[in-house]
Amino acid sequence: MATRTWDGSVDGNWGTAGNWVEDVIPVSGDEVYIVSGAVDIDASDQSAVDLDLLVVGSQYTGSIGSAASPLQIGATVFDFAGMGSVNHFSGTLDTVTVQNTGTSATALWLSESTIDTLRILGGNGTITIDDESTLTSKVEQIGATACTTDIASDTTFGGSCELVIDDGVLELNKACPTITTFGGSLKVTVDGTVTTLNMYDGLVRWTPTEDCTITTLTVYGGKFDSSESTAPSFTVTNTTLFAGIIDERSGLLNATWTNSVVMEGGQVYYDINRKVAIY
Amino acid sequence: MSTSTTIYPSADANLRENAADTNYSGNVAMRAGDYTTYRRHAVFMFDVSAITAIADIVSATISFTYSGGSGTPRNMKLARLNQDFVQSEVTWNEASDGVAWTGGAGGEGNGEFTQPVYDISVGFGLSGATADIRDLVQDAIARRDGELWLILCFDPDDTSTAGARSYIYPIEDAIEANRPALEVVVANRIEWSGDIDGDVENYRNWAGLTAPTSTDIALFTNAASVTTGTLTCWRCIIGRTYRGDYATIADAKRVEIGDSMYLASPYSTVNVEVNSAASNTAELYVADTSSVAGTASFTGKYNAHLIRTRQDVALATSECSRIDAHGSRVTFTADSTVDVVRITKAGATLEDGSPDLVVVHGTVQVERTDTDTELTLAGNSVVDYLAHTGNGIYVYGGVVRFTKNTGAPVDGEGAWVYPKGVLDTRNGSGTVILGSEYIYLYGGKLVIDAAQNTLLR
Repeated sequence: MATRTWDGSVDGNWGTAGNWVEDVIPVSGDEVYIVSGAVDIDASDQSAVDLDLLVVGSQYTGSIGSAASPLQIGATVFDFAGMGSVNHFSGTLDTVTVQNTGTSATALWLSESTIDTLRILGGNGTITIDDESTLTSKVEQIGATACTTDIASDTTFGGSCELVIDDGVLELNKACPTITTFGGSLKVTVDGTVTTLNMYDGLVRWTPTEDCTITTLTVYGGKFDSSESTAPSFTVTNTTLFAGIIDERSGLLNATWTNSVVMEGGQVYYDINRKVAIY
Repeated sequence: MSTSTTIYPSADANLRENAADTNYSGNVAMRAGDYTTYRRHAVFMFDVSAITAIADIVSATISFTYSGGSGTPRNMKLARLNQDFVQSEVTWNEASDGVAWTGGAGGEGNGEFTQPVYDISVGFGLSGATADIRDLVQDAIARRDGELWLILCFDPDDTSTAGARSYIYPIEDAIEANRPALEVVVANRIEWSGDIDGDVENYRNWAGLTAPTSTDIALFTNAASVTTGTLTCWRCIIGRTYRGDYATIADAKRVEIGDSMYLASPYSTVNVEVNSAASNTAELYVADTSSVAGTASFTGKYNAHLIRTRQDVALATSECSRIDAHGSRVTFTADSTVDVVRITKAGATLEDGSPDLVVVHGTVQVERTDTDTELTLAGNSVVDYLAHTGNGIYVYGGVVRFTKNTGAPVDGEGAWVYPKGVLDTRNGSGTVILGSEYIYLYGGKLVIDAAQNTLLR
């Protein structure tokens, strides 16, 4: 294991030895730091390289890769805080921690990647997961007030993957099995099944365009809002409302509440023309 | 007294996979089960529209009587059927003439397996089967115009071909007791009058001079106090207008409840021992209490749902498995470990922690624990952590304070601190080490005693 630090003193080519302080191109098992300067790093196929650690620090303001050609590389730990406007990566990245980003819509783009844990703790732009990426165990967006995360519809979630959000905006276009919200705004446009959705606070904008299912929805607080949904129908199998709000007023009468909505408090805004049996 | 109504099917029939276009109704037996090379299902329709008091249905027991059977018993599933059938026309392939089962042949594709389903055992040596299908009866009354269509089939995921079947007497059987039947018990609401004395076992203290039974609802709406006796009922409701007391602070009274207890009185002293004799766990709902300190306490087997309190409700929780406390006007104390605790905006003292504790915008004191507490904290919560050990602390937001912790050392399985969280381990003694694991800092603040050091990695 060796430490390699980018200085970009020759050009933007990852594979040029002179671009590294040690004048050695990183290999598998190395710890790589890209922590200063503004030299853009070109797209590069380093997919055979599996780093122990890849750090992009907040004092690095250059761009990495491009939409057409991301930097392909693997890393056990990937810590990102880069402030460049374009950052495209692809590879097997076991634990990704995002502490900060630039403000652009392409602040961090992870495509065709396999990620075990995605932890988003900050950022000012958009983080995108797309191109058939896989999220295996956990997605956390905690304390990331100014961040927007977009998880594309072609993403694959692990069978026990859990998504937790307490701040910022997250747009989920593929059903994650377990979702917990402590705050923030989660826009969900999916066509699959969310097994468990626990809401303690925050806003869930449930906006499916196709049939989809929540097996168990528990609202301890916050607002579950399906008023923007356009799907002909969607299903919530089991629902418990302790506090907070459920707003189903899409005008489409498209929510099927399979079993009784158990209410211990809170409010439900019903769609027009509902008939409600209370017992 | 509660009322019991027996309802027989308006229609029933047998479906046979290897005679998929043959109607089997009106036979001497409906064969249901697996014949190793084919299956047979049974379908039923009950008209439950005569039952109107949905909320007061205590039970709805469906019963099948078998004339025989064979094979090692297996469980079939009784599920709501979402397609009507015509008794004289229904077959394996069709619900009625020219109308196929929309979910596929055999009808199980029209079984609503995301609604409650019930095990019905079939096979050799069984004389029959019963199941309490109250949820489906309530569903039929509320949402299906009182029509309850059912199918008895195997779980769609059950691919076993092991032979097991029973022969169910149909509605045509000459002996009424043999027929499929649905017995619906509806509770009577009986008001406490307290006209004679404070004894809940004295029938003369109840309106109509009839004390509640285990299938009735006891209502408290007046100003007469309960001073003695054990109340047995299906549901106990202490209403908002009740101005009497239920027991005294010093002397709790037993309530044996089949279903639930509601407390909504802002006036009463209530000191109740829930289900000390009964084996079941009751649901305890507290929607309001008196504002006089020390006048609301519960012990026994219950799950607590705290919606509003005007004082600190005392919960003896040695047999309590779950507490839900949601709302800024809720406070409570639990005196021993509770399996699951969910708190949003409420205040609480947990004298022996919880292995599964989530606090969001709440104010909680977690005292020393015999069992490890796993704490998840979010929002603007404040937790005073007095426990001497723990099973993990996740601080998504808010503050965990060890200021009053007297443990030496205070150990634990690590902590995880996120950007909006604060883990303040200072207790002035330098004894908080949480040493079994690392403290993972993903942002936020870690505050330690002055005499302590940290090792970073």
